[in-house]
Amino acid sequence: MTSVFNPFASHYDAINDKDDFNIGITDRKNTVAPLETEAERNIRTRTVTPVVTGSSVAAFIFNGGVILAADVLGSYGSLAKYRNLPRIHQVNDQTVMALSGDLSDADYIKESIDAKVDEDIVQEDGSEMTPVALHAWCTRLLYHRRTKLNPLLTSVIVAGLENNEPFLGRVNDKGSAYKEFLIMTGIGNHLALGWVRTILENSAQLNKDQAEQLMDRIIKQLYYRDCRGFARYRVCIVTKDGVEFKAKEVQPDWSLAPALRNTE
Amino acid sequence: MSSIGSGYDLSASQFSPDGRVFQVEYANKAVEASGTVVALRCKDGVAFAVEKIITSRLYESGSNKRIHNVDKHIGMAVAGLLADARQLLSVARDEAKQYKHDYGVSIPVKYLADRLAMYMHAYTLYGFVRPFGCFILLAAYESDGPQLYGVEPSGVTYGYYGIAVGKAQQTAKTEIEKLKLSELKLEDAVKEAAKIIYQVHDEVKDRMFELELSWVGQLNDGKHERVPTHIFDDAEKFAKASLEEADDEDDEM
Repeated sequence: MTSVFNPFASHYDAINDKDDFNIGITDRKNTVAPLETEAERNIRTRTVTPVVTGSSVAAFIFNGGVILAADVLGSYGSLAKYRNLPRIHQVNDQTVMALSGDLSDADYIKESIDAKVDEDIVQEDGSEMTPVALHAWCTRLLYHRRTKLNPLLTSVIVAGLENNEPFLGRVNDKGSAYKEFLIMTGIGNHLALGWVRTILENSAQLNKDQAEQLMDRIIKQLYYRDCRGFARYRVCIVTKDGVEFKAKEVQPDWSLAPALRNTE
Repeated sequence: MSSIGSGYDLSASQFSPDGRVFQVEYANKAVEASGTVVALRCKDGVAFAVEKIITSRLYESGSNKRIHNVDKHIGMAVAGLLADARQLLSVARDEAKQYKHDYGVSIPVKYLADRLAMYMHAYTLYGFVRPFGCFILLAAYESDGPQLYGVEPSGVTYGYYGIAVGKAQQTAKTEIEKLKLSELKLEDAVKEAAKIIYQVHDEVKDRMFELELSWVGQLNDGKHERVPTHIFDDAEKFAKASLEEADDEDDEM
């Protein structure tokens, strides 16, 4: 029998047919076994929540350089799982980047950038990954991924010296970016940004030692108040003398804690 | 027709009755027409010296380089058609990048030479392509010492102690054989390589040439790079001086 066009015949989607609205429809001869997995139903899923995460990064410009700090904790949910994962990455002798958010995405970004930097060296055409260039490059990478509805769930801070001027910029997981003299990611943005900005705006430009002291205060504050904070951290200072890393540990003072109420 | 390919040279996919693939042999001719490249594998590294022939005074110096970096630690010197070599360079770079991405360590130069040889060999098998008209030299300083490999247009590869390719390869090879490569230090090897280039350069046929020198070895942490300016100047001075010495001796005779 030749098939006749019948506008009332129901058309079943062979792939995504798991509906419950076919009660009473009798012309359906063969029952399609319910498809189980999302892959079988041809639904593409993406990572929408980070897995191993890094908490806040703090960074600001001082007189003649940039300072960054981040703890070395990789949290698995609320579990302090990986306790030695430095999150500040040196790109070359004038550029560094710090990453927070999903740390496997952070690794991916680091690997891509290192490959790009090697490529530039090998080509011997004199091009270099300066902070501004890296900032733009990260913007492209992260925006590209958000456009594919598959964002890298990280926040990238790019810092360094561009023509001997300090540079500090940030790109978020959607690829939007800005430059600023003070940047904090994660909960630091809520816990520390305000009072640090007040300090920086009301003081003459800090020198390197003052900057380092202020940074220690910031990290201590975050350690006290951020549940994903960690005592061990890295400080990175970029000046015209180069990039300097320091491994430090917060020395907390909990003696006040018993006097506080509503803490439990 | 009988004196040359006798019709068997039109395609790389066809043997001649006596078992030759003429297209590959012609590719070798392209290599032999090129400026000489000298590579010395000495005690603590590998030195490259290239005679880059300049055919016009109107060219900017430093253009059309014949020594390249495949990776930070692998150097590549080319004899033959430069445009062909650039494709091979790009293939080699991709290969090195992919290896590092896959295994997390830099590509061993032997492996790279093998991969490149496979690529070049593929171009000797089909009627619709021609072989690469270049001889590729690869050098690196690895944990088990200096490495030097050469890939021929036919797609075979050898490891070398020292090699010369190009116009004056015969004379240059004779000169290399006089050296004690196993005792030579890299600083001296660069000078010797430069000297050989100056020695074999034919001033009558090609008036101008630019010397290119690079090295990879223990002294620069296994990085392949062009030699620093002062070492380049020293080597060039040494080469020119020994040339004049030889001239004086000729005059006396």
